[in-house]
Amino acid sequence: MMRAPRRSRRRCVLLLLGLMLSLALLIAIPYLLPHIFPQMRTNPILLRKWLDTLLVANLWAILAMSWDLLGGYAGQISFGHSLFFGLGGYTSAIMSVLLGWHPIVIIAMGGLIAAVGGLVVAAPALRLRGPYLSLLTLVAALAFDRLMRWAKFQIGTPGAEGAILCNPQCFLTFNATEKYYYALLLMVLSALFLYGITRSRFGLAFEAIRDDEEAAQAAGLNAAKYKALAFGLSAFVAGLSGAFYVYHIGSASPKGLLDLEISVQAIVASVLGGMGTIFGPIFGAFFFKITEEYLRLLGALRFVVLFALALLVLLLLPGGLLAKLRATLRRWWQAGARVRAGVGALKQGE
Amino acid sequence: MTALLQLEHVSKAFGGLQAVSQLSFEVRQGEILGLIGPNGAGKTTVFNLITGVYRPDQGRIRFLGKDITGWPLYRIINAGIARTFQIPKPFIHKTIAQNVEISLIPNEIFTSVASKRERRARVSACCARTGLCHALGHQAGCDGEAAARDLCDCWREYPHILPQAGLRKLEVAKALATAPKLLLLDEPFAGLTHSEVEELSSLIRALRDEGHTIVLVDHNMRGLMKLVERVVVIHFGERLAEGTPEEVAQNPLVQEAYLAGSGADDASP
Repeated sequence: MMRAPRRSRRRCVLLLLGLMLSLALLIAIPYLLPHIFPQMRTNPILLRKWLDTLLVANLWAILAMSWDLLGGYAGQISFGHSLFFGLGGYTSAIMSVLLGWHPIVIIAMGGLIAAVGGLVVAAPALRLRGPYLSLLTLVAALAFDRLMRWAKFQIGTPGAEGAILCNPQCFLTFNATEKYYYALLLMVLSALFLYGITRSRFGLAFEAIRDDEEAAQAAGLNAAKYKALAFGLSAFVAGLSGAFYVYHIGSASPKGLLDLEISVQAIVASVLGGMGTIFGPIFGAFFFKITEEYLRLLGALRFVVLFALALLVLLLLPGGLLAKLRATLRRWWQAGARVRAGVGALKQGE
Repeated sequence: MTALLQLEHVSKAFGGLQAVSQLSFEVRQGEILGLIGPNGAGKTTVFNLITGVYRPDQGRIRFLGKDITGWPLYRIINAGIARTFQIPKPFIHKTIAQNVEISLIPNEIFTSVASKRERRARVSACCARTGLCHALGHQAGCDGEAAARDLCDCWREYPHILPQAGLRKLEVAKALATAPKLLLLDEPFAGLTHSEVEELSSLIRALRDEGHTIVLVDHNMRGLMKLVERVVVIHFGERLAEGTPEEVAQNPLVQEAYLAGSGADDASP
């Protein structure tokens, strides 16, 4: 009678254990790095570079998770997530210069403005499906990119082609370790928020709409409303990530925030980690960003290698890295259980 | 008996094909109505018109006196009409119980939601009511004899383990969870064995006795004759006859058009 809950509980415990271990690793990493790479002890610039890489990986993880909510759960494949990332980023650049509020407030505002942008995109997107929806999000992101290039901002220190240099207004701290922890905190909070959404009735509604929209409507669900909600929530979290990113690099520019490659990287990270899992994209994003940094010596070629690698993973492990890892672990666990059972039987036989 | 649902001169064409033309009939409170006709007569189209999947070209549809013509599907469902699909549409990535739970999700984003326990109780009630899952509660195991397929643990198993009859019961459970006044069942007996038809028939009768009004679509008259109290026959999208099963079976028009003259015995109860 008790078998069913125990098995699911064991899976929960395993997942929780894995996540806690990963989190502990991410918390400890600033102190572990100099031990793993002795050259960092004498070269603080190298340490800083790696901390910044991990910080950006955290932000990319947030972006990828937000994409996963919309793409993996609600089934609305967006090719223009850089739009929401950029909306958050530009909001934080402009508001930090003009208003000078506390960074927490401004980053939250970045999320909110991006959420409004998400709802605006959702309005026409509700009429479209599949590739047409993806095309719409792509074109919306391109249009925003061109709009920002056209707009000659007279805010902060105007840069080339729609860039706003907001340093020193958008500034967190000189301490790279401290800044890394802020990003990690935002990533953990975003993950908990999104995971909570997917476990709530909203997540159930999203998945129902993704799997069969007509059947979902026949269950009484207002699919348009829930899709718009998915757009809004996803854009909110993507906007937070973009807003923080501007605080990290000290400027907002079409090149830095609205490049289509950012959208593509979010999708690749999400698919690598496993769509429809929320936590998977975190692993995808870290894998992507760390590999990118490792391949830096290859220069411009590194992106070719990186995307080729991503293609290979997509071909060989279509379910994502995390799913593969989970399946392998489960196999080991079951093999272990068989061995233990066998040993037990032998002992009884004695 | 008062009319629960009224169709008034409803027409629908797909390109040059007139699927439904000037169709009028009413569904009375508390009855089991059979909507029958040969393949391609427009039965499923009528369901799709009633539930707002299609918008009628002409005519009005009233439910409880309210004009629901042109309402979107989800709004009609929430007004109290539920439907099943001819080909069951389970949410394959969700457990059987979650399939039913989806019907309980409110559309308001900010609203007081029933507690998890209440929701689970309602899901269990709907599953148990249809005989989908036997001794429910998610502690019920799925081992040994209890695993007689559709008696499995709804909270743990996915719809793919269900046989055809189980999938149809799941459709009914999903529909029941929306708390409908009117239940539209699209070919619920298709592909079922004799005993499964009997079981589902007694479920439908029991649901009627609990106050649900039911409309059934089928092209097979024989299975329906014992179950339904009134029949509307449609042919090429038009109403051909209406009445008790006996009256309809004796109707020469029906015999000629639908049973092609040879099926009088086929149609008799």
